[in-house]
Amino acid sequence: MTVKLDDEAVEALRVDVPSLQACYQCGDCTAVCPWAARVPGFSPRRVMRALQVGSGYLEAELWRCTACAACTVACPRGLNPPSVIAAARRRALLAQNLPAGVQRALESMADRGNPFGTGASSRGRWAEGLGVLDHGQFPVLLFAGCTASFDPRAHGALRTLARALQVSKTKFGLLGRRETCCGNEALAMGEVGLFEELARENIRAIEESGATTVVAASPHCYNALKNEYPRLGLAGVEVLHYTEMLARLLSEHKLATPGKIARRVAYHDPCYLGRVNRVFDAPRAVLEGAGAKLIELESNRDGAVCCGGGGGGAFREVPLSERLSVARVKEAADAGAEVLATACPVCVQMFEDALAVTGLQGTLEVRDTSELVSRAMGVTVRH
Amino acid sequence: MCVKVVPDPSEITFDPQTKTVNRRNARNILNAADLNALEWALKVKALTGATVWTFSMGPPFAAQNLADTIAMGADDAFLVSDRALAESDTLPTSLALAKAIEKAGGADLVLCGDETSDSATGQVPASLAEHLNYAQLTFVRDFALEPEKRALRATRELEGGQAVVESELPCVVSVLSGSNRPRYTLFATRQGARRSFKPKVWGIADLGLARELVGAAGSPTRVSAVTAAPSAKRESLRIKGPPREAARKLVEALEARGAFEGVR
Amino acid sequence: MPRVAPESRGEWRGVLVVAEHTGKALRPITRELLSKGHDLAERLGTTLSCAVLAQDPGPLVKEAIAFGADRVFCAQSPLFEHYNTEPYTDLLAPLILKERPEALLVGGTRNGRDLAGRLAVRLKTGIGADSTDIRVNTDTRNLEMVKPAFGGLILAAIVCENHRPQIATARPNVFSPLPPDWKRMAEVVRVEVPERTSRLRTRVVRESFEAQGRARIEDAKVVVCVGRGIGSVERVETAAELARHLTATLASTRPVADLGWVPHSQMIGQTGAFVRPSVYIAFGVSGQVAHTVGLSGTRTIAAVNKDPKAPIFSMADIAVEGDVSEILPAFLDEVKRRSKAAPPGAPPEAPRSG
Repeated sequence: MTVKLDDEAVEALRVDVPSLQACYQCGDCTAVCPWAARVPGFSPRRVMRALQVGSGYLEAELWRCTACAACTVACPRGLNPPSVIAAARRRALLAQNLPAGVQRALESMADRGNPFGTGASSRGRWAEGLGVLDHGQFPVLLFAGCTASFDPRAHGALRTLARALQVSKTKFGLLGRRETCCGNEALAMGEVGLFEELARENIRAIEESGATTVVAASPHCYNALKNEYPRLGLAGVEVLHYTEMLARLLSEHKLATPGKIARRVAYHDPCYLGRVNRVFDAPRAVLEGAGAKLIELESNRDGAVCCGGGGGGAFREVPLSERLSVARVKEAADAGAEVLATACPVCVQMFEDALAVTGLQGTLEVRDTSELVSRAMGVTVRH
Repeated sequence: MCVKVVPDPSEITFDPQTKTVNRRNARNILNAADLNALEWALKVKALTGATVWTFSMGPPFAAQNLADTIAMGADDAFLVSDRALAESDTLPTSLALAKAIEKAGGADLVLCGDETSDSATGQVPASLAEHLNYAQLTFVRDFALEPEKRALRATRELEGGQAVVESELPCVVSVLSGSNRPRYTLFATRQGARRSFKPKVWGIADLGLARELVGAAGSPTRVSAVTAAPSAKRESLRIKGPPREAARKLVEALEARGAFEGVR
Repeated sequence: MPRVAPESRGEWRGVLVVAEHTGKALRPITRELLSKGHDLAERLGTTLSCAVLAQDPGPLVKEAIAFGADRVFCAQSPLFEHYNTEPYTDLLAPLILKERPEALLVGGTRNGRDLAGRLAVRLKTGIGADSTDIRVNTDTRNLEMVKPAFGGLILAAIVCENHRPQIATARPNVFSPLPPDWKRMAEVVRVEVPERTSRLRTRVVRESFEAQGRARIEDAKVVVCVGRGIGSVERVETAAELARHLTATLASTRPVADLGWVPHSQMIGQTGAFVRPSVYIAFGVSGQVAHTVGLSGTRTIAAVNKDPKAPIFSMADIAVEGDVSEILPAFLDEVKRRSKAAPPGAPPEAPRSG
């Protein structure tokens, strides 16, 4: 099966085709790829080679990549295999070569603006009873994202984040039902057309709100808003991840965290926040400010191992032995952590699942950073 | 093949006060089982080079959904649309569709989904076959054409079993929802089709149908009353207490919602 | 013909049930329809007939009479060895036009619906399909056929006022069969099966009714689902027993499938199966969205979990807070007790209406 790069996708993903030839097959990418370590035969190096020469490569393997960018950071030639893979995935979509879960997620994004098959009209429901503005104009916009909007587990984190912003007297608002999927995962799965449509809808809504700062709850949305939306027209807007916002508020003394957490917390750097967008310190500052006894896991910061949820990974069935999230929760437990903290609702989902499978529930807690901060602030919200 | 455009089932609510079904939030999508039927049609096309046409009866906005069938791979699409058709039950609906298929030149194979998510009568395929005077095979899980014999062989799924059947063409085949995995359509392809494709639209005059034969006038049945189904409300009933009592209350609550209908 | 002016409605009398059978015995749906038909005929002050089309009708005719038919139309032919649209329609349409029943009851089974749709057009009349209840207005002699629509969200009452016969199909297990009375006598009318002038267009090659392996979970009407909170593989066995008693399919969330306690093919969720049952009962399922996305078609969701804040409770219709290890066995006991109280064939309670 010949895998080629799709021209439209190449353009949209800014894949520098000539520089593909710069790949000299050193294999550094494969050395750091968390999937290569687990799946015999999977290798970013071979994908790059196949695409360089237009030779055969199992299209099914294209769906393993979770866009964690470990390879991107390691590449001595500055190449970006995940975007090359996304461009090849577009071809795979055309050839009907996609896992059923990926198809369901993409069709749902197209029809309902979220990957879960939930009706779009319930999008803003997570904020009920909080009294947050969801129409008109406001300077700061909280962009909830699909996972946080529809996953009841994530609602707690999102609601306490909103409360924290209220307590700090930040004037902010939500898009409510006008928010649609950020499209980050659609792009990573090769659906360039779908991504652009979703992006345009969000950009219109953001412009109408007049917001000059957009705070994203999820690093995936953060990545799309910050790195992809500008070329589609988003301008004059500062894009922050919520941990950057909280860090700012703490340093400006607009937030206080009197109830120190005093637990041993291991922080997991989400791929899109840490490695891809270089935000390592803000979440740590926020956690320490809340009194957490931070533990650094051996693979942290640039070297953090992906939870497995990105790049469409959350929509694919992955055998137990290959699941990155399982290894990660074990790592945290072995390091003596009482809490595994992260700053991404997808990571939270993947780790909660892993807790259930490894039987670590009760030994280790999984928390989004906002939940710990809110606890330290003494902010509670009815569910 | 025939498709029906239905309101997105995940977005429909019922107001017991006004006794109306609220579809305002529901985007209009193709009936799920009809997508399976279309996928079967496209498989036949791939194997035999056949032409695939989609037919639907509905309001003008259904044209967009018919464009989606073109994006998926159908060759042409026909929309039967006329104010006079409003409030049609399955008799005039199947009649109108039959007339449209005849006007288009007839077909060797007419594929339909087994039933729709809104009215769920599942009667149209059989009624359609009678109007057309074609053979019929309903509730088919899979089938294979035997073009030299101008026939097909199919497996009908029945309660607790199945029947292997053979039929001459032309034949109307209704397929089970979920009997295959409809192919993925690239978003850009769908956008393109929606922008550029316009189905042929036929009204009752084009089909030579008199007013008395369609709409409420042509429908032997009508809906005389509508009420909320007892199990429709998602009020969360909380049960606590000692296990035996909780278990008993759970059984009662399930019974009250009709959950044990069909369980002996 | 089928459009009948009010004055002539009086010419159409009687209730006719079309029998579905295995060749040797009537299917349960037919017994249920005969009971309902008997009730309707009584209310209308008329008789109940049954049409039996079979290769060997003898035992079927006896059964139809025992279950309430006052008259049986019996047609014998090898054409009726299996159900087949054409021979059935070609025999029944002229019979109905001759005998003029005001109501025709057909099973809401796959074969029944196959037949009803064809007959309705042949006879130019209307169908109240998949009725879960059939009431009758004795003044107008009109049936009121009640059915669920929009995925079970609403109940619609259908009437067929000006056409005869009024065709109603009813789902299996909606009506309860009366106990048979083998001493009943009734009229048996032999119906001639005319020679066919044309070849049959469809034919049945073979039918098979053994259990076809495990039913697909996507088609399950009742689901019992276990999550990580089930605690042990022994308790999964209890859940499996419960599923058997409820004629349900046993399903699980991903952690349980990963542990090998339930096969992966029975896993519900984003990366597994999507189900549309009438009832889903969960034990120890927390309700992660990756699992619950597979449930959106469910009519009634019941969940048992010891965490009052479990996400599944926000989408459950019935939320039971408690220890699964205690409630599951107690629930199984209750279910067993309940089915002992109403065994099949015993004097039934009144037919369930919507």
